Amino acid sequence: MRFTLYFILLLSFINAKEPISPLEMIPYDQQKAKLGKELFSDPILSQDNTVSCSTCHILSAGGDNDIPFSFGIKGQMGDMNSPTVFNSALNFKQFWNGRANNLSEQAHQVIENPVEMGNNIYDIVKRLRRDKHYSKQFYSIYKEELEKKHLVEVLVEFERALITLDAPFDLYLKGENSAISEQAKRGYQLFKSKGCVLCHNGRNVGGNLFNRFGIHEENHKSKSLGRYDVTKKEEDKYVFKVPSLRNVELTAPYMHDGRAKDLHEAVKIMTHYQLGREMKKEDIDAIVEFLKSLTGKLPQILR
Amino acid sequence: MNVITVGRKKLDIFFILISFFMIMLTFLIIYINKANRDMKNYSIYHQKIKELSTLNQKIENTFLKKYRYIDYDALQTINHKFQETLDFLNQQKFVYKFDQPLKEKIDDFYATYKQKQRFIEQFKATNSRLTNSIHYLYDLHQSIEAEANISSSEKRIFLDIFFQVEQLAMELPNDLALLQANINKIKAIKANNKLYKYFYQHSTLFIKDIDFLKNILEKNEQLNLANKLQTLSQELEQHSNTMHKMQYNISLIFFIFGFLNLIFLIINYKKIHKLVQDLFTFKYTIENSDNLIIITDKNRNIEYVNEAFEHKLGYSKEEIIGEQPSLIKSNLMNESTYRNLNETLERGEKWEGELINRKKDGSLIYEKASIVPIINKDKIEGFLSIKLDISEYVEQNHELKYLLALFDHTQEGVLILDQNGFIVTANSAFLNVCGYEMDHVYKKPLSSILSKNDQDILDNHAQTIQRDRVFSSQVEILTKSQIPLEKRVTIVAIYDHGHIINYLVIYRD
Repeated sequence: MRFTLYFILLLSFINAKEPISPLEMIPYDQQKAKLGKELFSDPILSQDNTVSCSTCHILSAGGDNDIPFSFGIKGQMGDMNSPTVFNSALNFKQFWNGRANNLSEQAHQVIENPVEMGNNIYDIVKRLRRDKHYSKQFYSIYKEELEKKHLVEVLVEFERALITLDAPFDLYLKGENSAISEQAKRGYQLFKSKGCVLCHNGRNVGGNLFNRFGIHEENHKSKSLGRYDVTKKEEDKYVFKVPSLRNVELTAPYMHDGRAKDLHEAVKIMTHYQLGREMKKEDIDAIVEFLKSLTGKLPQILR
Repeated sequence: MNVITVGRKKLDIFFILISFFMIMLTFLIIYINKANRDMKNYSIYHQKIKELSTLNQKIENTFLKKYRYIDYDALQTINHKFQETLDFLNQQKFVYKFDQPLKEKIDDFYATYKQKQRFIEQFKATNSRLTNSIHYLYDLHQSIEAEANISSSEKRIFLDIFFQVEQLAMELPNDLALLQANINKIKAIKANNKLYKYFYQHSTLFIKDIDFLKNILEKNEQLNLANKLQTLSQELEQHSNTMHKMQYNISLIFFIFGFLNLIFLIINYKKIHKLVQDLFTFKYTIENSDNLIIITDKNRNIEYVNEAFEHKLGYSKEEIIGEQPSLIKSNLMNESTYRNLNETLERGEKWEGELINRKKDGSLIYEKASIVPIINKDKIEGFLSIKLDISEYVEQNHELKYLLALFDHTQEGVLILDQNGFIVTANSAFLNVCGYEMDHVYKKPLSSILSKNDQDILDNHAQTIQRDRVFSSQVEILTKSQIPLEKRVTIVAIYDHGHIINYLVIYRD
């Protein structure tokens, strides 16, 4: 009996405060963000002018793409599923293995990744300086010659603007009881009680910690070693950043290698590998329903 | 006073002292400013380290909430702030002042914090796993009674494991071997049944993770970040105290030097003040001297004349300053005199002589002049001329010459007596007539050349002489050969300031 009491005490914490909080706009510079938006979709940033940021992060389709791995320059295929660019400013680290501490590091690394954009950022700066339109735009903002930091800053400002507000679930959290279906509400309760929320929590429903992929089943067939690539520590093998579940409905396929085609499959994989439990079909349905309520509105800057 | 050498030495020392004082003061101000900035930076640094302590405490508090849902967003915010503060402190403007040991301590602290960050990440992941297992075990515990296809003996093992896991979580005394044995029993029973499989997985993982978490927290404790922060804070304080002391000492030295400098300045000022006083006295003396004083520059342009000059020559200062001294030349003198004057002065020597100049009204003035060059650093800077008006003396001299001629060439005998009636001088007419040499009568009383009857003529008629200044009488003068000569003698008293100084004795045949 004591056991039960103790666990109830532990679990009661979850009920005291909602572990997920609604999204709020973060301040950004309009002019810079607009220029960043323009550059985001311009292949000028890639070595051979074939790939832009939006090649992999399709802004009209959840901020990512629909294929397990993305294509970079010269048709090269990457080995990771593109994460969404939406709400990425709220992640505590960037990339699946968290190798970038913030968005500017991330932008820098993608531009220079030989498989992605394959460029040298200084070459891009030179290229943009030669470009009449962009050099003029940058000058009107910074009043000085275009530098690397300016380029990165406008891209980051744009990404900061990509917050998807007013998801039905957020409205529900704010007190609008009818914003989500009863099934979704049940899904949320399951999400909390079955342990999903222990990793997917906070304003971004994830994106604020690392954890091992395959906690309860190590035979997960992941090619990527995750955070091990960054730290080279044995205990970091198959450790990935817990992704945000916001707009998850739009970001199929799922997992770092895009192994799950739909949400049902993704939830099943998660319950098996991560939670170490079996879940009934109707519970999975409810959780999927809840996940769908996390889809927010298209950010203002894209409308 | 052959030449005037002007000294600038005193003034130069004054100038040097003033400059030195100014430089000293500027340095002091700059130094104090810098010291002030350093102190400010130190206090910011100190404040930030305190903030880090608070943040670290918050992180430590999070660690206490293990096996529970933890707001990782909040933890991330704390972590982010910590990193920001560290970055702020790593700026060159703070660090450059620190000595090597302190810098090493800070670097060590950075490295420690990096390790701690890793522990935080591990804690987050592990805690999530553990909490999830607790969820699972709770769920299972709730539903186990209702499970139909689990035998009651197996249920017993389940409940034992629940109890033992709970003991483990609550850090109560437990028998890990017994727990492991129980778990193995579950594994052995039905490895293929999903419920058993998951239960086995959770229990195993729970034991492993609890150990791992304990390990992390122990290692974290060993990092002793709080202690390091405190040491850092103390070191910093010590460092800043040393710094402060040094700054105080340096400021004090500056101050003492400045003060000494000021004293020197005051002493110097007093000297100069005295010099100025002396100069004033001197100027007053010159201004009011009866001598005519002219100062010219090296080109002989008049720079200064005193009042005596104005008075005697009739020129006002305004009229004469800037003019050449040749303005008052009379042209009555030989050119050679002027040539000699100029040559002497050009050689840097003193010239002395007499000059005849012309006053503004055209009349002449006779001057006894002494002109010296004013020399500064071996260069003639100007000339000082001091002159005495000797016109009166020259005129009297002339008159005296007429009188002397008259005295010597008159047919009448003339004697001059002093106030006591002794003969001072006699003219040649007297000496020729009476046959005396000058030596015979010099300093002899008048009575010695008179006959016996007229012996006391001066004494007897002193009153008349005093009243009328003049007395006339018939007397007998004895020649050298004692022959009496009948003469009419007139005695005139010569006064100066109411006193008889001489008697003039004139006789006629």
